[in-house]
This record gives sequence, C-alpha cells and structure tokens, in this order.
Amino acid sequence: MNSSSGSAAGPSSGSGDESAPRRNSKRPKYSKFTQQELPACKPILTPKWVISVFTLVGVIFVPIGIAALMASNSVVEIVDRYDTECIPANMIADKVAYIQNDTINKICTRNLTVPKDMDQPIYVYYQLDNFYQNHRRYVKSRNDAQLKDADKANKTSGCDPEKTTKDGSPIVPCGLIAWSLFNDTYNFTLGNQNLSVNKNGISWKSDRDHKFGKDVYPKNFQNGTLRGGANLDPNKSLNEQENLIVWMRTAALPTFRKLYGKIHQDLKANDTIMVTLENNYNTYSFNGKKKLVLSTSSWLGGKNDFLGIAYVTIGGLCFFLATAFTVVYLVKPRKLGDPSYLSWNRNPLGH
Amino acid sequence: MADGERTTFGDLLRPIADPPVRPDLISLSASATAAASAAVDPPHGSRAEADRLGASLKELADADARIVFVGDPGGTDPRLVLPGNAVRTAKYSFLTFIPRNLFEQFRRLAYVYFLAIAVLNQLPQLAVFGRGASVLPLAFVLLVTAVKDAYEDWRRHRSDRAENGRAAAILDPAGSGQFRPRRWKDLRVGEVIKVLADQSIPCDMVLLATSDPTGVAYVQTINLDGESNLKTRYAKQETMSRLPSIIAGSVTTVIRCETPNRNIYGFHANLEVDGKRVSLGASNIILRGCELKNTAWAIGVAVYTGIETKVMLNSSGATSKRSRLETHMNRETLLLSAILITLCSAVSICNGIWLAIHRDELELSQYFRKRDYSGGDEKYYNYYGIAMQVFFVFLMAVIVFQIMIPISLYISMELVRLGQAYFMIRDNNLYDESSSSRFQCRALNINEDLGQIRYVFSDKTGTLTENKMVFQCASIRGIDYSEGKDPSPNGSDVYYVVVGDQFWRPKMLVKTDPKLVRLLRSEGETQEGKHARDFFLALAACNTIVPLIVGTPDPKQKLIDYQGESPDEQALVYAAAAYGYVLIERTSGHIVIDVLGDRQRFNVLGLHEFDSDRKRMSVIIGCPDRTVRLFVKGADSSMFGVLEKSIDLDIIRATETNLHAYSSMGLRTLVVGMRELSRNDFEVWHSAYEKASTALYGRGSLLRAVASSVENNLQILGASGIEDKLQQGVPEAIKSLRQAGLRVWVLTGDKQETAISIGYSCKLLTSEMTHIVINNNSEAACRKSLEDAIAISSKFVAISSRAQNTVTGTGSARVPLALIIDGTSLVHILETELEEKLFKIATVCDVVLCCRVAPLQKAGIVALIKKRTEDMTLAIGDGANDVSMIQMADVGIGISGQEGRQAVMASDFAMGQFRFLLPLLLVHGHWNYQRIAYMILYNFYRNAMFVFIMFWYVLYTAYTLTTAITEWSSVLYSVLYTALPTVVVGILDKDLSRRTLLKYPRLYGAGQREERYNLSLFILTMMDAIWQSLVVFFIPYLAYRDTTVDGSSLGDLWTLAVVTLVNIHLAMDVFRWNWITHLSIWGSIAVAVMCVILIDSIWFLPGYWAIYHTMKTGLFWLCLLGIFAAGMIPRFTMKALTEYFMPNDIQISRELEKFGNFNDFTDCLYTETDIRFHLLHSAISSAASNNTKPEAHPSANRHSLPCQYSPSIVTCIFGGVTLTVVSFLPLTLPPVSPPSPPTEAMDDQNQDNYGGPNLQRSALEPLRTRWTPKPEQILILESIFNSGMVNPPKDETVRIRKLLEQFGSVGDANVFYWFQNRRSRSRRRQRQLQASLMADPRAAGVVQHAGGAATSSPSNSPGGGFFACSSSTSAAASSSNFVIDDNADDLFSISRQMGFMEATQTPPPFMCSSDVSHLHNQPETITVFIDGVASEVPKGPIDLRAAFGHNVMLVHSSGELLPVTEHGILMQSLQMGESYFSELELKNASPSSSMHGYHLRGVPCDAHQYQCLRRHSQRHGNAPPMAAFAKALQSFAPFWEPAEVVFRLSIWRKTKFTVLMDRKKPLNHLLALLLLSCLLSMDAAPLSSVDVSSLVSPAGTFALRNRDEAATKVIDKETAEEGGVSLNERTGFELDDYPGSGANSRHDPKNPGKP
Repeated sequence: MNSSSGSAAGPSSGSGDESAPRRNSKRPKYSKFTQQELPACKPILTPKWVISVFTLVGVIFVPIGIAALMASNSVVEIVDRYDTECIPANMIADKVAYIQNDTINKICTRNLTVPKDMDQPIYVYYQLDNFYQNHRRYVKSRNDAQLKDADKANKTSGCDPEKTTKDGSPIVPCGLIAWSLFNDTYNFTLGNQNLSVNKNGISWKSDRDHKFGKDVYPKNFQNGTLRGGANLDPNKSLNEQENLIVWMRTAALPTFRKLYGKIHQDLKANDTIMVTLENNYNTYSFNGKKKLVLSTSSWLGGKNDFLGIAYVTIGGLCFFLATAFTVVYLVKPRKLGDPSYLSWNRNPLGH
Repeated sequence: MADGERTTFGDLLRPIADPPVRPDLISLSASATAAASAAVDPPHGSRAEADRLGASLKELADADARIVFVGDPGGTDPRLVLPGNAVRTAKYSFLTFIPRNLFEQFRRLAYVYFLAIAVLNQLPQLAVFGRGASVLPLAFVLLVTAVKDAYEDWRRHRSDRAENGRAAAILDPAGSGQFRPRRWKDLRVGEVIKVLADQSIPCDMVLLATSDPTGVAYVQTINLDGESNLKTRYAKQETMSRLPSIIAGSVTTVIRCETPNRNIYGFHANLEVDGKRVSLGASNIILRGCELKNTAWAIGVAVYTGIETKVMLNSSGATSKRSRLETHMNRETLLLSAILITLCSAVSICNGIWLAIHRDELELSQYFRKRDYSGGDEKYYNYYGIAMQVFFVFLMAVIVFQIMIPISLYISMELVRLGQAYFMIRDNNLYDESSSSRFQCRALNINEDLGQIRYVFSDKTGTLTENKMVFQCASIRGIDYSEGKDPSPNGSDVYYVVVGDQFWRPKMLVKTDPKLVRLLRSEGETQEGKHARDFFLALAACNTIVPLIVGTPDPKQKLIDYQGESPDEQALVYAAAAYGYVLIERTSGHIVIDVLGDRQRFNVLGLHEFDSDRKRMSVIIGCPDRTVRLFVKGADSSMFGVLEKSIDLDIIRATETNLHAYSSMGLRTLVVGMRELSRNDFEVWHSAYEKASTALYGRGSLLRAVASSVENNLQILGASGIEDKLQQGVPEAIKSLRQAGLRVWVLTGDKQETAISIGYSCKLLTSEMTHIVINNNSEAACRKSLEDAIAISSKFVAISSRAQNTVTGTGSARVPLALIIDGTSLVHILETELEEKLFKIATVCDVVLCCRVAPLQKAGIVALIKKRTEDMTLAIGDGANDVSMIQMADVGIGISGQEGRQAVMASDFAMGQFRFLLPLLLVHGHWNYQRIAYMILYNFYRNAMFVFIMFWYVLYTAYTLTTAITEWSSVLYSVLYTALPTVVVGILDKDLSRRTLLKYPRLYGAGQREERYNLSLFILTMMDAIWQSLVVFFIPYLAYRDTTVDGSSLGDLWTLAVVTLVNIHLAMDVFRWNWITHLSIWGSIAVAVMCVILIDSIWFLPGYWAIYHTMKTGLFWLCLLGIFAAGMIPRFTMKALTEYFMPNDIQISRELEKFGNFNDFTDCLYTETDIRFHLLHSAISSAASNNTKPEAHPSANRHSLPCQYSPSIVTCIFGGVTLTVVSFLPLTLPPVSPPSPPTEAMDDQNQDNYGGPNLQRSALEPLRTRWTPKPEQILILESIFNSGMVNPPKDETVRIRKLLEQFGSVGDANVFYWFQNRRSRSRRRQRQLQASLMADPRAAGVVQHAGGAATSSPSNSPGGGFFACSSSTSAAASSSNFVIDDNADDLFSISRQMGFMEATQTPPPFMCSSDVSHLHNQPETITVFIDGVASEVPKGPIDLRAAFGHNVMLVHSSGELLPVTEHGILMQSLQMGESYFSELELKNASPSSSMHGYHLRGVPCDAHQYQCLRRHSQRHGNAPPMAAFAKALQSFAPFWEPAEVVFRLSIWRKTKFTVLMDRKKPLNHLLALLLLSCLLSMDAAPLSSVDVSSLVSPAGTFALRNRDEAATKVIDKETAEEGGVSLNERTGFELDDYPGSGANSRHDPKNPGKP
C-alpha cells in the first residue's frame, strides 16, 4: 500500500540524471551483520563432547551427592507428634470440643530422648501437617500497609474475613493469617534443669525492619466471636512479636515447620528432655497434625536425604550414559561429516 | 505486442484459443458475436478481479457511462456525486484514531484472548492477579502499536497534504480563458488542466491538445507501472483544432467515458465536439502519477479524480496470506487449548471434591473460615457453594494458566518475520545490479513458506529470459538470412542517417547479414531486392514505436532511441534501422523513414492495434508513390491463415521451415505480410474504419472486424527471428531447483517450439527425457491423449522400476518424463473431469511445459495442483499476464523486470532475477522455515512448562490456584525473561551456511517433508516440557519438604530454575553462536535474576527479601544445579543419540561444514585446470626430452599450434587424466585461421595470431596494448568455458585472471573479452555445425573414443616422477583411436549450456494426439564426455560390455550410476554433453560394502571422497579428481611438483589422510608433511612394501599404502593383506582393474590393463 500510494504521491522523479546516484545507494550495504555472516561458533555434539559432558556431570554430581548425604546424616532430628497424645482419653471422641473449651487445662508433658549428640544451636520447630497456609483465601488475607505503618491502621482491605470487629473498628493486625497465629507453647527441661529457648532472632531481619512497623501495636486483636489462635501483647510493637512475623511468612507447602526458638546448649545422646507444652492450637477441626521438632542443622539445612540421593543418582546415570555412549560409539562408529550418509547418497539412484 | 506473451488485461478473459482463422469466415457479425460471447461467458477459473478488470473492455453502454462536460464541472453528470481530487491515504483522523486503531488491533484474535483474560481478572471473585499485572502487557503492546501506527499515519497525512496542496494550472471557469494555479485537491471532473513538461499529472485526464502540432504527448509511467520508457499519448485532431473555442467555452464538448476502474491499460470513451463524435482510447488519456516528458505542454480535461483515478484504485494493500506453518500451528494451538481446558477442569473438579470432603471442617479451619463474623450477620465470605466454587475455580484456572496459549508467540513471530524480511532485503545476493532493485518483501506473513515449496510455476518471457529482444535473423520470401555479423563497436559499418551536418544512428546495434545488406543496396531492381526492401519497410512502419533523438557528447552525433511498449517491436525497428530503414519521426498521421539515405514520408492511414484474439497488428500506409499498402505482422499461427496461399505456397513452405528452425533455436518469430490495397479496397476499408472507430457501441469488436476484413489475402514478405536471451544463471538455477526436489513448471504464452527450445536451453528439458505432447482441439481428443499419456507413463514407470530391480534391487530412478501441453488443450481439460487425468499425468512427469496459455489458464494450472495436493506452490512471473497465477499460488513472486510493475504489485515477494530463486528458497526459505518452526515449538514448550509447574503447585494448595511464583514474574516470564532469545534465534540462527545449502540443494527437502515442525515433534516437545516441569517442581519440593521454607522463596527458586532451564534448552539447540545470541540468552537469564531480586526488594509484596535469604543457602544452589542436570539429561541424550546414529542430512552437512576439509578442496574452482596444465606441461617436457618427433596430426596443420609439439603425442599414465590431456588440445585450441582469432579483444590493428615468436614478444609487452594468451592460458580458459562458465561474473573474472597470471600477465578485461568472443564464436560454430548436422548427422565429425583399446604402453619417465610418457606414434596408435574429422575441430567447445544441439538431436517427442502414440528411439549420435574424453555415442541403448569390457559401469558426473541390464546394455540413453566416468562394477556388493566401495578412476576411495569428487567433477566438468587434493597439498608444501603430489596421492589411502589434513590440528598436519616428504625422498625407486603408517603412527590414525603393495594386491588377491579393518572394507572390491581408464599407475607399467 505504501509503495503505490507513495508512487502516486511521490515527488517527481525518474529522470536519468537523478537515478544514477540513487542506483548506487540502493545496493544493500555490505556488513557481516546484514549478510548474516557474523563470526559464530558452531557447536556439534561429537562423541567426544557427549562423553565428556556426561563424565563431567558425573564427576561433579556424585561427590556433591555424597557430601549432601553426609551432611544430612550429620543432622540429628527429634520429631514428636503430640496432638494425638496430649488429649485426655475422655475427649478423644470430640477433639474439637476439647480444644475449644478454654476451661480445660491444655498442659501436656512429653519426654523426648536424644538419639545422638546434638550440637548447639538446636532449633526448635513446630510442624503442622495438612494446614494449607498456601490456601488462596488465606494467603491473600493480610494487609501489609497496615502492618508497617501505624497511620494506616484503618487500611484493612484484603483482610476479609477478619477485617473489623463487630462494631466496625479495624483489627490490627488484620486478616486470617494473623488471626490464626499458632499458640502452642513449649518448655524444655533437661533433667531438672530448664533449657532456655531463645525466641529472638527467629524471624527474618528484613521482615522486622521493613515489613512490621516499630510503632504498630495490636488493636482489637482476637476479640471476635471466633478465636483463631494466639493473642498478642498489645503493648509490644509488631516488629517485636517475632512469632507473628514468623507465622506471617506463609509456608509454601501444606506440611511445614516454623521456627519456635533456638536452644543454645549441646545435648548428649540418650539425654531425655521433658517438654511441657500447652496444646492450644486447634488442628483437630481439619485433621491437621502437630509435631514438635528439635533439630540441628548442617550447611545443607535440616535432615533430608533426597538431594544427596538425587545427586548420586544423576551422577551415576551420567557415568552410565558416558560408558554406554563410549561402547556404542566404539561398536557402531560413524565418521562425522561423511557425505555418504546424506540421504541421497545412501541411496544414490533413488530420488 | 510480443506474440501472445505480452497481453493486456483483455487476455484474462479468454484463453488464447488458436483456431485457424479462415479469411472467408471473418465477417463482421461473426467476430462480433465471438467477442460478445467472450465478454459474457465467464471463462473458466475467472475471478472477480479479472471480471472487474475485464469490464473495462466491454463496450461502453450509456447506462454505465460517465458524462463529462468539458470546462463545465458543474454540468458534469448531475446524477453522481463525484469525489474531489483530494487523495487520502491516511487511515485515521484525530477523532477516529483511538477507536479505529483499537478496532484494527483487536482484529487479531490473540489480543481478544488477552483482553478477555484481563477482563475476567477484573471480576472480584476471580482476581488472580493484581489489576496492574494483568492489564499491563496488553496495554503495553497496544500502546506501542498505536504509537507506531500514529507515526505512520502522521507521515501519510503529511504526504497527503503535500500532494493535495500541489498546484495545477486550471482553466478559469469564469470564462476568461486563462489558466490559473489551483491546488490539486480543488480540482473537479470536467475542468480543463494545463500540464507543463516534467510536471506530474494531477488526475486522469483526456488529452485535448499538446504543444506538438500533431497532438503527441510523451509520458513516463514509471510511478504507475514501473516502465521507464516513454509512452505516446495523442490528442485528437478534432480537439486540437478547436482548442481555442473549447477554452472559450463556445462549443460544448462532451466526453462519455466508462466508470472508474482499475485497468490502467484500457480506456473507453468517446468525445462529442461540435456534434462530431470521436472515439477515445487508452492512448488518449494520461493518468495521475505519470509525468509529462519531451512535450512543452499538454491540455486535458479531468475525467477521473481523487480516489477514482486508476492509480488510486490500483493501490491495494499488501496481500495477506497465512503461512502453512501457521495453519499447522493452529492445530497445535487447539491441542494446547484442550490441554489447558483439561488442566483447568482437573483443578476445578479436584477443588470441588476437596470442598465436599472437607465440607464440615471448613467453617473452623483457620486457613479457610467460611464466614465473616465481623458484620454480625455472619455471612459467607467468598463462598458460594461448591458448584459455584467449582465454576469460579475453573475461570481462575483459565486466568492463571492462560499463557498455555502462547500469546506472545504471535507477537514474536511478527517480530521474527520482520527481522527475516530485513535480512532478505539486505541480502546482497538478492540485489539485482542491472535493474538496481532490491529484494522486496510485500507479504510479511509467509516467510517460512519459502522453505516448503514443492511446485514452481514460472513464466518464461521476462522471467527465465531477459525480455531484451535482439533481432537475430530474417527469412525473406523463404530465403534465410541468419549470418548476422556483430557490428564493430567503433561503428565503421553502422548505418548512419545524415541530417544536416549531424549523424544520427540507432542507439542499439544489431547484427547485420552482409549478404542481405548487399542485396538491399544493390542497384538493380531484382525481385529479391524488392521483397527485402518491402520487408524492412514493413518492419520500420508496422509498429507503434516512437523515435526519440538523444544527444551524445559529440555534438555531431545523435542517437535514435526507439521508445515503445513492445520490446519485440523495438528489436524489429532497430533491425530495420541497421539495414538502412531508419524510422525517424512518428506522429499520429505520418511517419518519416530514412530509406537507405532517402527520407520518405508515409501517411499512416489506419492502424489496427494488436489484440490477443487476432494476434497480429496491421497498419495501412500511404506511400510516397501513391500506393496504399497494408502491412501486417503477427504470430505465425494467425498469419498463415490470412496469407494468400495460391501463389506463394512454396515460399510459405520455405518460411515455415525457417520458422521452425528459428523457433527451435529459441527465437521468437513473427511473420510479416503485405497487401497492396486497390482504390476500391481502400475506400471500402476506410469507410468501415471510420464508422467503426467512431462507433458508440461495440467499437472494439467493430474495429476487430474491420481489421479482420482487410487482413486477408496477404502476400508473405518473410519472418523474423528475435532472440530473447536467457537470464543469467537460469539453467543452473533450474538444475539446482530440480535437485532440491522442486518441480519446475514453465507456463508460457509462446508457441510450442519456442517453449521447448527454451526448455532445453534452460536445462528444464534434457535429451534423455521422454516427451509427452498434448495438443488437441477437442475434448474427445484430449481425453484420448491423456489416457494414452497415462498408459505410456505407467509403462515407463514399470520399465524403469524393473530396470532398477535388476541392477540394484532398490531405488526408484526412472526415465524422466516431460509433459508438453498447449493452451488449446487446456481449454478442454481445465475445469472438466479431465482435470483429474491431467493432474495424474502431470505429477508423474518430471517437467511440465505449458505453452500458449492464457493468463487465467496459468492460474487454472496452479489451482489444479493446489486443489489436489497439500504441496506448496510458488508462482513467479513478471508481467500483467502472470498476475492471476501469482495471486493464486501460495507464494507469488514478481520479477521487477521489463514488463512493468503489475506482477510486483500482486506478488508477495519481488526480486530482480529468476536465479535469485535459489538463494531465496534454498537459503532464506530454509532458514526461515527452520527458524520459525523451531521458534513455535520452543514457545509451546516454554509456556507449557511454566503452566505445568504452576499446575503441580496447585495440587498442593488445596486446588486453590495459589501461585508461588509471583504474579509479576508470571507476567514477565514470556514477555521479558524468555522472549528475546527466541526472537534473536528466530532471526539469526542458521543451521547451515549459505554455501552448504546452495551446494546441496537437496537439503531443501527438510521443509518439504515438514521435518522441523510436525505433530510428533510437538508431542515429543510437550513430553519434554512435562518432564522438565516435573523436575523443576519436584526437586525443590522434595528438597524443601518439611522445612520452614516460605512460598516466596520456593517461588523464586522455581522462577529462576524455569527461566534458566528454558534458556539452557534453547542454548542447546542453537546452531550458531554469535555475540548477539550469547548476549540475548545469557542476558535474559541475568535480566530474570535481576527482576526477581527487584521484585523481592519491594516491601509490600509478600516475597520481600526472600531471594536474598534463599540465595544464601547451599540448598538453593544445589537444587538449581540438580534441576539443570536432571532436566536436560533426557533431551541431551536423545539429541546425542539421534544426531549420531540417525543423523539427518542437515546434521551431516553441519558436520561437513565443521569437519569436512573437503569443502576447501572442492570449492577451489579452477584447481583441476591448473593441475591439468601442469600435468600437460610436465608430460610435454618429458616427451620433448625423450626427443620425440612431433606427430603430424591432421588437425595440427590447421591449427598451427603455437607449441612445438602436437597434443596427441603425449600419453601420461594417470587414471583418466591422460586422455583428457590428449583430447583437449586439438579439440579446444581455437583455430588460428581468420576471421576471429580469440584475442581480438583489445584492439583490432594487431591481427597477428599467436605464433611461437609472438608469444615471446607479447609476454614482454605491456598488458594494455594487446594480450596474446599463452597456450596454457587458453587451455585454462577453454576448460573453464567448457566446464560451463560461459559468462563469468566479475568476481569470477578476477579469479580467472589471477589463475591466468601464473602463466603471464593478463588483465581482467582480457578475460572478459575472451569469454565474450568465445561465446559468440561457439554460437556461430554451432549454427554451422547444426546446418551440417541437419544435412547428414553422420558426416559431422565423429570422434570415437574406443575406451576398450585405450591401453597404452607407458614407460617410466626419468624426470617426471612416476607418470610415464611414451612416444607419440605408438601411444596414439595403441591407446586411443581418435578420428578427428576436419569439421570436428570445435565440436566440443560448443557450449553445452547453449543447448542448441540437444534441440536438434532430441528424439521425436511422443505425439499423443488423438491418433498417434508411438515410442521409438532413433539411432542418432550424441556427444558425451566419457572419462573426460568427448565421445560420439549412438543415442539409445549402448552395449557397455562391448564398448568398455566386463564389469564396467558408467557413472554420471552427478555420481549416479547408470542402470544396466544383465547383458551389459545401458538402460537409458546417455545425455548429450554430460560427463560420465567409467567405473568398475561393484562386484559382490553387499549393502555395507556398497556404502564404502567406491572406485574413482581406478583408485579406490571411500564414499566421502567419492561423493566430494563426483560433485566436484559435476560442477567443474571433467576434472581429474586427484588434482584438487594435490592442489591443497601443494599449498602446504610448495616445493612439490603437483604432478608428483597427484601421483603420490593416488596411491594413498586418502581417508586416513584427511585426518592429517585438518588445518586445525597443526600437529597432525606436520606429521603428514613429514610423512610425505619421507615418501618423496624415496624418489623414483619403487617403494618397499612397508606399511608406513605402522612406523609413524602408532595410534593408527592413518594408514598409507604404496603402489607396490597395491600392485601386489591386484596381482594376487589372496595374499593382499591390509592393516586396518576399514581399509579392507574399502578396498575389498578392488580386485580387478578395467581397461579403458587409460591404464592405471598402480599397475606394472610393462603390463598395463589386466594384471
């Protein structure tokens, strides 16, 4: 369209004199780019490359896998599911009623045996199973502006269904996440000595500094009809309520651990720790599980053999493939770049 | 006016039926009804477009006429509201921009999908993404496009304003009679406009008067149709004379013209002035966009303005087609939609089930909490019951998984195509120097279709040929004058017209036949002379050419430039001028012709223009001697019908013979006739003509009838032969295209003979083809021919498949078939049930040639294929008659050549030369296809993988569509993180280099077979995507299970993993890494990392600081690493396996590119020539040292060879090389005898031939004065010429010159001129030869190469290494049996490219006309090159065994083995002019050994070398194969004699040697050199049977054999033991040698031939 309308509208042109310089300029200018001749490297998967790649991957992966396995093995982990145990025998039939009844004493004692020596710091986690912290309506139910800024206490958008109290005053912190704050407590005694649990520094510093305001204090929290979880000290600013901060960093998966605190004391094998816990948190209504986890850590984190096994498997597979390829290349060699393999040469008379 | 080829749009209406027009049948009514029926009956395949164009040719009826009152715009046709002259190309205005632009943009379905998703997302229940995130991409794309559109439109506005604001001089309507300047846009229909020289025409206007007294105006229509020559337009005398009164408004002038239409070549109107009616035609109107030239002023009246002007009506947008790949892509898009819906349903159903199971728990569970208690009434919060919930989840899933349908793909595809178009346009190889035209991409959506073409439909004239007509020969009254001599450039014998003191001469020089010139100028009034004079008078007069006088730097000299619309006419007028009939002046009333120095004025009394029904034109001339003559010229088919047969029957017969000869030479023929009109005849005609030309209704048919009534009883004057030269590179291009598996069909308007001969010369047809000709006049006959043809073709297929089975057991090679069908038959076949039969036969045939086809039939043929196959079609043409075909085909290509721009305007791509088809299809097409195909698959994979990862996560979030990956990342994923690399790779990646693709045209098949994009590839890719998504999801999932990890951290890990993985995936598939690819791929990963970091630095997003935390942990990095490895292993393994064990052609070619050293060798074009000379030289010198007496060869006397030896005295013993040397000298050294020594190039005064002394002198002389080529140089030049490079381009010339310079100084110009002379000489020779051959084929030189006897008795030459030379007499006598006839001296220098000889020696084609259908071979002889020796062999089956001995096969230079029966009889005829090599038959060839068992000139070699060298010799003629190696080797070790090297090499196992020759491995290379020098130091002494390889190379990377070992092996098969398995394999069959290879150096010299 352009060319024709241009020709109709174009300025007068076409005399022989004018066309001569135009001729020269019309030739596409030569450059390596326009002629698509930029210098380039043309990798080809030669047997040498294939075998070396596989070998290299094997060489890298197997040691890493072994290291990871060792790291995972060095981690000592005590896991104790207590939600089924810490329930009076008479209430087993109706767990929800048990947990909802504030008048019943929820204190429960568990004895844990240390299987191996545990070096400090020992991390204390609570693990919830079947708790969908990544549920869509749960994840969204918060307001970050309100958490950060005291002036924006009224901003409760997105916090449904835990936005305001019945009389309409805003809840700080609002939203389902804060409302459902985990409220079991643990106390550890080794022998008769109290094991102190350090609950400071369990949350991310970035969250404390930038996500939760220094001057934001809980307001109207947990005074609705339905109590979800822990109450907050209205005199402590949000950025000091580390259990809230930890809780509000929502877990990725329905089974998750949250850091409860750290024990800065080495434990010996076969030590028995007595845990006095308050079984407050309602997981019975949704068939959730609660576990207490004591674990040391390695450079790879907690106890998890998967990565080590995966690495060893991948590395082994690569070694196997490298060998297989070597054998196959030897058994059935093909000359690279041999034109006789071109389809029309393989069958020279064919068309 | 070119017969049939150049047509107006009228031809679109009617196929060129070719009925013999009997004069007595031509009556007014008959032809009028014929015309009427043609107009009324919709012809087959007609289309709305053609109808509309054709409509203008219908006769003008008052109802649809426009009435224009000249000078009175107000009175013009009050019925109509006529548009002003303002044009508007801009699309938008300020107000309409936003709605209209949005409307235009949302016509893309992809955007609508985008919008729908964004709208869905706005619903509060479904708000998956934040508002910004969901709308932003769409808004961005819309905005960018809108800005681009706005800018373009602003430019259009500006140009519109400029255009509308231009000033035109318009007659003051107030009646003052003055012309006042007014703006163009204010111009109205009916106004009178004055245009000055070099001004543009503001609207379509009818000429009223011009500055020329005869009313002629010249216009240039370059803006309209691209033709740069001037066109003549006439003002009618009636208006010229009444101009003052018209201007004054005192007479009412009314024009009735047809309604506006697009036909720029037609105009029908009449003009009424003073009550007198004058008819107006296309020559009376000048169109907007033209420029007035060579005319001081012109006055006209506007008839069409503004948007109704023809140029505006013709400005259609670029054609919009959809590519095949995109159509297929839609299929996969549907599949993806199905997957998408499945995923969404799965999620929503699972969600429903989950809700149902947990129904009772939801109220209290902390993470769900059904109710909102804060309001007091405890309403449900965001919970609408399970059914609704399921529905909402489904919609949300659609939003979340939306990128499963890769919307960005559509945008990136457009970008990629834009980039590809950029590179195609910028490609220097697609730039046409001669027309200075670049490649044009007019359609942007079908780039990749270029890589999948199966059928090429080509026009002939202007497409295959240059459409630059040159008059070649004439037949006057049956006497042939074709001995044209080239005029010398300084013009001593050029005909001049003396005008005053000035010399005028025609601009173009034409060959003249001296005999004819003498005849014309002879004084005596012979009958012969008179006819010749009439003939040239007819040529000079019977045309519409306008002479223009052009100045030259020399003031005394002027050039006459003939401008006209038909190149044929131009050629004829130039020819007439060269013979002394110079057309000097033309007005509408008379012409002035300088008749042999005598200026004569002829009155043009009437002119019947060419039309495609009559296929002739005539002019009635009043001569100075008061006679009135009618000159007619036209196509022979139409002319023979109207000739007076009773008297001139003999002459007609003779002319017919001549015509046949001309057309078989590929010339375009026209027959010229004349009739002297008696007074009475003239009166009758004149009144009829007057009446017809002013008739209101049916004027066209009336005029045709008048013309037909007078064009009869003509006296034949003669016929002309005009050469339409083949475009450069056409034969090569066609050959390559056919190799590439494309079927090339030629559709031409030319007659059958011309078409066939052009078919030969462009290598479309070869002599080995069996022709099936169909030309019938009735449907029944057509049916019968088709059935016969099918029967024959099936028989052929059966025969050849049987033959194949007996020879090789496999393969499907067969006798190629060619179908030749003409337009008349197509009339009966197309659009009937016979079409199916035609399709059947046409697809069996290798070549289809359609002649005499009308434009619409061309489209019909394309449609025939398009309808019945899935294959892609491409049509290429240059003229208006190709438009329908171009539009019909999947890909239409316009040649921007001589015939205007109609084809270009209708095309998808436009380029300057036919041969550009090769780089366009084979290179760009291949690239584009593979790039886009890969890009689509990759985009599918990329998006699907992302979706799957999200899907797996959803399974762990209670099916609630939470995404761990932040919404911004998922929006940016396909837009920013991964988009650029695909675009870059889609534009820049090349699987193979240009050179390889051109070298192996068959690589093109990948596109035809849809190898790069098909359903199974799609499924594989999707499976890969699923695997990778599983890896990406589950490795982190399992690694982070039961940890404190938060969603954002895991999301970031997934984001980075998927982005990096898809980019690595892409990186693994990139073929070529240049810096842009590196930058885009690694840059994208970096950008993704940065974006993730950036997003995690925003405090209010949930993922705040997550990435910093996770990146600190080792787990994160280990997960990433593990993902990469586990994700890529399957793909990498598959890739390695397939590439190595099931390599496709592309893969092998890639390896060849990278590792194949042979590339360097085989690309060295002239190496073998060089070596050949060296061989010759050494041989000669050694022969001289043997003190041999020169043999007095018969030809030696004639040639007086410059050297002191005769060529046939030398016999060197090299497999095959010997005979080349022997045969070459006598055959190709040009004769010294006058008239044309080969060195006439630089100047003419020094006519010395190159004798021995001269040679010495010239070497000292400066180059400039004269170049006397040395024999070596001539040898080289000749072999280059014979190898097919007849017209070397400039860079080749330089290369040749450099090569020649080794033997003496020479300039580029010398080379250039040598080739020019050589070409013309060979053409002349060929004609002589042809004449003699026609007389008696056997009388021509017979050179028989009795291969079986070619065993010489070589002796070991002391000086020349191992090659042995024997004395002349014995060797010549015993080795080869050369009978060189005197006539045969130049037999083999005739260019095989010319294709003329083939034409004469083609077996008669199968005539499948209704009654005849037979099949036979005539025992003719053809010339072929066997082992480099030109040999005359009988056409047809040859008893190979008798000729060459047992076990000898012939191999075509392409490497194809010729099939042989079990009795040693060749199945198929050898092909004229091709090279063959005799080979030892592969005995007991098992499948594995046949792969390796190649035997090259008696030297066993491996398949690689074999193919390389085969190809090499195929390209460069009959080359000794070792030479290329030797040359390369010599470049490393210059101290070796090449001959020596050749010899050494010939005894080596070169497979292993190639390893050494790898330049990239210097160590190996050094080793090779050491080895060689070690070998050579042993000199002439026979090498001991040491396996050198075992000494030097413990690793066994190479193995060497020496000749004794080989000889031993030959003598005693049992004891021959070789080191290395592969060696045995390769030499296993080499147990016997064959005679005829000219003995083999590996054998005992005393015991040649048989061991």
